[in-house]
Amino acid sequence: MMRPLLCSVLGMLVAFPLAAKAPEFVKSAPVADRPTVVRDSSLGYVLLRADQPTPLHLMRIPTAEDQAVYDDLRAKALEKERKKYPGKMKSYESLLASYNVIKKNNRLAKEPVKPIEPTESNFVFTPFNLMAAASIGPMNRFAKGENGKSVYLQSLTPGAYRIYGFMSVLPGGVFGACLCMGSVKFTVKAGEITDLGNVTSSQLLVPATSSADVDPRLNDWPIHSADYRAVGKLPNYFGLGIGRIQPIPGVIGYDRDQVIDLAARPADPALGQPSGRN
Amino acid sequence: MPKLYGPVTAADEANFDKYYYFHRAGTDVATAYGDISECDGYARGLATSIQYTQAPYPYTYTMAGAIGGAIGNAMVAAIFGSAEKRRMRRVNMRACMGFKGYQRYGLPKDLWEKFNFEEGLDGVTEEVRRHLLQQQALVAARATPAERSLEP
Repeated sequence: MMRPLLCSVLGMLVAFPLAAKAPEFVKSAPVADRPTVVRDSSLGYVLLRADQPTPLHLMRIPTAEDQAVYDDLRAKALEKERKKYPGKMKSYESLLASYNVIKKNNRLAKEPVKPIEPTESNFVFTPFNLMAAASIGPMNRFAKGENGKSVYLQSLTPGAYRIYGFMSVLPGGVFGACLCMGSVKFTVKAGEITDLGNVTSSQLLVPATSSADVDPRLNDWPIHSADYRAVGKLPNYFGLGIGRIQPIPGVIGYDRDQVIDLAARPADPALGQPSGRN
Repeated sequence: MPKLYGPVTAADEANFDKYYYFHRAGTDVATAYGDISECDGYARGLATSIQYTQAPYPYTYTMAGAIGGAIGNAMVAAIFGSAEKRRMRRVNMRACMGFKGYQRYGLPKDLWEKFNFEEGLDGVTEEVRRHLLQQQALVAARATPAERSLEP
């Protein structure tokens, strides 16, 4: 079984040449656990606490500028595929002619698959969500506490992000589960820390409060609680286990599988209120 | 409408985590088909309908993201094999249909096989998949379960 698998992975490596230059929609790096930390005012930062080492995968929500860059990439990729199409058809016709000759004497012969002409409507390009993302944790902790308690501080291109899952996308593979069926988004501002709150051991996201402890090394940094808002479903891009973020009072709830943006509703004491230091 | 009732043995009951059907009272077939199709998309890891070969494009420093799904699935297959892939499909279908408010009812394997499919390292053709999902939607909307529902 391993041999075909290896071949298919190697095949993919050939299909994804490293030489092509990729757009960099998201710059992100963990801030190391050192006695002093230096803030880059051009970048935003996210702070995450967790009861145990936790991975978190974020996907950027495109700005108008991001969208324009992405649309241009897609258009160029489509054009490239369209130019290849006549050659693919010629090759197909040649293979089909051979197949028609040999099929009578060779029952194992396989009929070639006719290529589909790429068009604006049927062309599916790599989704923006896969091009513009960042993984936080479970390693590279900014601070460590007892019993696995962890703090992560990570720089991030300013903008809006969605929590896609308690998962990591690493060069060696993808681990965890997606929150494909309901999650939250938040904003990251340049030169500031967005406090994402705490993830409990049962993967409940508890937004930050004004009484949350802040590492003394960050005393001079502007910190804001994440302005969480509900966001809807996304595809299971990585073929992982699926889930959704647990309800957060005042932020997100569910009616069966429908996501409810509680922050957009009039205050309801039964649903609780959003908390934070904003 | 597939047959849902027959003698149930203790061995059947022990396998109700694998062999079952979904049902939600007051749901029409079209809605059930939409729900089952959506959950099937999550369970097969392909929620978008790819009509043309997705153009390759490298990004975020490495190729990990571009082929992440493929490698993720390939790693699962390499490490755990087909059984784990089949189990993951069941887990995702149950989670998704559970979120949608469908109840789950156990079935003997021989009845289950008539309108369901497993998906490990190999699966079913698109045509067969559509037909079976339609059958499952019929059941999800029109069954009249007499037994108690199982955990989602």
